[in-house]
Amino acid sequence: MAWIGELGRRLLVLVRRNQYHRDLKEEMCLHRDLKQQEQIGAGLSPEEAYFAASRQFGNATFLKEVSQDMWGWNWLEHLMQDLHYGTRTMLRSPGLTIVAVLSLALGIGANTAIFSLMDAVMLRALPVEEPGQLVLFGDGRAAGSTDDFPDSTTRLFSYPFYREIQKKNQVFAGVAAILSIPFGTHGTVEGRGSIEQMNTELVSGTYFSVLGVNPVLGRTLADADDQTPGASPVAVASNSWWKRRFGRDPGIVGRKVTIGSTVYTIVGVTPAEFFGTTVGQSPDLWIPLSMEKQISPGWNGLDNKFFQSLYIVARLKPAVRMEQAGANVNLLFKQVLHEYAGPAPSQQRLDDIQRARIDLTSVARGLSRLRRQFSDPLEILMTVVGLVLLIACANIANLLLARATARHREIAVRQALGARRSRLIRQLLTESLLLALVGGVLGVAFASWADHLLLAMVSRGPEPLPLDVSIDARLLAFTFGVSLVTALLFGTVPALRATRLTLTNSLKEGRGPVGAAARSLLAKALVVSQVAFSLVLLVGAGLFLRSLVNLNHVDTGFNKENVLRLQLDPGAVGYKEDARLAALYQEIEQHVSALPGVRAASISFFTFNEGSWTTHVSVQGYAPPGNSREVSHNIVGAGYFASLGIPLLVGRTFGPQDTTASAKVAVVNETMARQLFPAGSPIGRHFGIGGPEHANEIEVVGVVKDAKYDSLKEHPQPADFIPYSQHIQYLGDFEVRSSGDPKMIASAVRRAIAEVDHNLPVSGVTTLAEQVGRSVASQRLVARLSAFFGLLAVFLACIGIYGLMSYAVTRRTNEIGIRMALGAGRANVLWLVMGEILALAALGITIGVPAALAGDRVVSSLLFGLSSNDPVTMLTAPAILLVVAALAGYLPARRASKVDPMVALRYE
Amino acid sequence: MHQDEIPPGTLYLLILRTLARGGELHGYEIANSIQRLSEDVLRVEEGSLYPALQRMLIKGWVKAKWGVTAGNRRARYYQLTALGRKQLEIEVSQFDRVIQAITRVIQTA
Repeated sequence: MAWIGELGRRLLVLVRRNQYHRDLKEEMCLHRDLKQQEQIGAGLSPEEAYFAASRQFGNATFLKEVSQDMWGWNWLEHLMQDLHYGTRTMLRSPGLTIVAVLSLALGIGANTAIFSLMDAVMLRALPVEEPGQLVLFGDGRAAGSTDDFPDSTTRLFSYPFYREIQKKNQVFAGVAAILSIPFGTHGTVEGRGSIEQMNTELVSGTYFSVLGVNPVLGRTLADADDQTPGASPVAVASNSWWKRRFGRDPGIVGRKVTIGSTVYTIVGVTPAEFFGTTVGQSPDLWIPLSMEKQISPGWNGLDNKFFQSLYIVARLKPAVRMEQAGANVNLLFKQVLHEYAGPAPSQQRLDDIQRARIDLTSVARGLSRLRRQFSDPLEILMTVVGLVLLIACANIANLLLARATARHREIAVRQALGARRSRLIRQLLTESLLLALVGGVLGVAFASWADHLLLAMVSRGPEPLPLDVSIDARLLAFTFGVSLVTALLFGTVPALRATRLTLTNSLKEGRGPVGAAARSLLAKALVVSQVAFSLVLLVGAGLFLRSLVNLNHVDTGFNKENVLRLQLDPGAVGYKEDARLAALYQEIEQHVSALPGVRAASISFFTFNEGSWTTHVSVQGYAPPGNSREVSHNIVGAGYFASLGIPLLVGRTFGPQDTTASAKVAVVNETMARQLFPAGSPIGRHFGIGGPEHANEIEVVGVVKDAKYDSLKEHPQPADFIPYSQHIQYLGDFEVRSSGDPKMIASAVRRAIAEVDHNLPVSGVTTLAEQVGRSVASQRLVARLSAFFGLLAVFLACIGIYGLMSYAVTRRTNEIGIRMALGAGRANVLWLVMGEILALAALGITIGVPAALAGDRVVSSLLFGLSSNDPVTMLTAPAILLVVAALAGYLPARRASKVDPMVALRYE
Repeated sequence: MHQDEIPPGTLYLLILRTLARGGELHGYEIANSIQRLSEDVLRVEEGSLYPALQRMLIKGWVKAKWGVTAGNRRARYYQLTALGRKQLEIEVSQFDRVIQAITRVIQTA
């Protein structure tokens, strides 16, 4: 217990610090006086006695400091002194400080912002129980549904298979299934008139129990909710939806929600941190898979063994390793497939089963298409901002070196007065740390602003992605760590240099301290490295920008300008997939087409970059080589080609003559015409969706030009277009070609739709150009940010060059004076300085080019239409740097050439 | 006159012992007292005395109050506390143990 009393006494000293200082001083003063009297008693004169006593007593200040050490607060006192002193030094040169702090704030802020996005997308574990035990069947790289018999690594599974695995496996504590496609459905909350968007995710009844997510209100789903198709109209609400739409009203449990023609009862609310299992998607409602047909009548996966549309997530039993689980799962998979293949499977089937397999992957960090899309960009950007921070550090190190030179007399005096070197280094480092922390605090502010900008840049639609990038403890720890490392990076060397002095030389006169040559060598090395880093960043920025330009110049095959895009959801207001739906589409198209300023309007299944519906097709008497009979289908209205501006090459598009009663028709693209009907005109020829028994079903009536359908990077692929009048189903896309800015007609279009059916939910209003732009979001993100940071890097390097040369010119003033006195012209002097600058820049570039060439191999996945050693970029970037370096150096060089020899000579 | 430095670690023991004998003393008196009792063999450096006193104050072995010297100067007088008395016992027994050990080593050698 003694330590408590001791702590109390220590604290007392801290509180009454001043009194303790006075007491100690007085006490020691008395001691010295008494000593003096003792000496007088021994026969010395008072003066001699004074000196003798003082000599014996030693350095009073030092003694006092050692005594104060015993109080245990020295570190704090020193810290306060250093901070106080550091603040004063910083405020004495505000210009320098502002430049340093701002470049640090930008550097640290950029690092924090990119890291927070990276953390949310790539690093953070799912907020569920023991996420490390969760495994996904397959790698999640597919979404949608397929009816192909599994014959390779399998990613999507049928509901019957999910049940088999659940029943028969020996390695999992629980198995759950998730429909691989989320639905952007619309519905009405009981007691509220308006229809609103509700993102729903269909999951198995075991979903929440396998994840270990407990409700904050009511209950989650149970396996009992997932037994009989259509029998359990219940929904679990997400916490954010509950907050957003119900203001956290606890009365939400038991409320009814109508989606389509089914009324669901809300049974519970999930915890706030749980957003689902897919990073970047946050469903509003979770509904049991047993309700699949009610949510999407076209989907009938519950009893179909080959309607494979589910992800399967399972929790490993404790002590079961992934490999064991994989072996068990694959064994079961093959058994089940043998059953599915029937009693006498063909050799083809047996081969398929042989090749079919399931790769288990960890799903601790959740599923994410986002992660795949943005992993490379984010890693590249993290490197970029890291380099920018290094460049900023080099700048500040140079500033501190220059300042240390200006302060070397002060430091020499302090060392002569007995200050220990470690104490001085600590003080200089405290100043660096202060600088870095101020930069860090500003950086966090900058990051929280930049995060929203970043989020908007990675989002696919006008709504920002539901990602949590808020500043949390983890992020603050990251920023603090970065600031600390930064301070050490830029502060250590200057501090060591500044305190390594030969005292007598420094005290004698301020000019030419020992080690000045080494110091300026170091400063030059820093500037050279800045130039090299900047070059790497500029080359990167150049490559990404040129890729983006190439992407923007890709011939899409359609005209993306002046097209308005909307999303309709007729299923939400009770339309069935029948003639009434086709009539609704037609009426909307007619109403909107009649608007002034509208050239064409059409409903369709897809426009661009929305996924695809791909199947095999058959043509009578034609056996296509390899996979070339895979065709993407689109279901469209008559005005589709006019709306998108896809030119018709031969034949006709659709018209009123194409009805459910008339012969089935299709328009195909050039590639499909060439591949499937290589000889003669394709018009009037027949093909079918599916096996050879369908080969006669659809007649080709027209051929349109090839276009890009899912991605700007795709190669021409066979595609056909089917009129919705002959293939009636829910279609969400509505595109309108206008004669002017499409945004201007948006409200008129919405009114026209409301005139047809004022209940029909309309959402996702955007333009086709924007949609195309979003499809290259990752390239756009990297191009824009790397360009920004590349310029920032060059700017920082300029400051570095300017600072170094200004300092050098000042130091060499009298050398320059002598040269001029001896007859050197102003131009000679100008070139003397400029030559040095250009030499430094050239050296930096020489180092930077190979570095850029090496680094660019990493980025090739994000390049388009050029290689990573693109000659244009490789020549432009160094040229830009040289010009900019020359500009930055010109001012100090000119100042040097304006030196008056007489003034310069007298200067010394 | 030859004076010896105080062996390291024994300064606390000497101060505690001095205070235990003499009641209230100020720093100069403590130093003098040690010097006198050691018959001028041990000399207490001021550079060690004041840090030691500060540490003992923090540890609670001594307490201090301000008084007036014979020469009418303000001085800080130190006094042993109960904790200090206990510490003295510990230091004495520790010292004895060490000295005996050293003696044994010297004698056998």
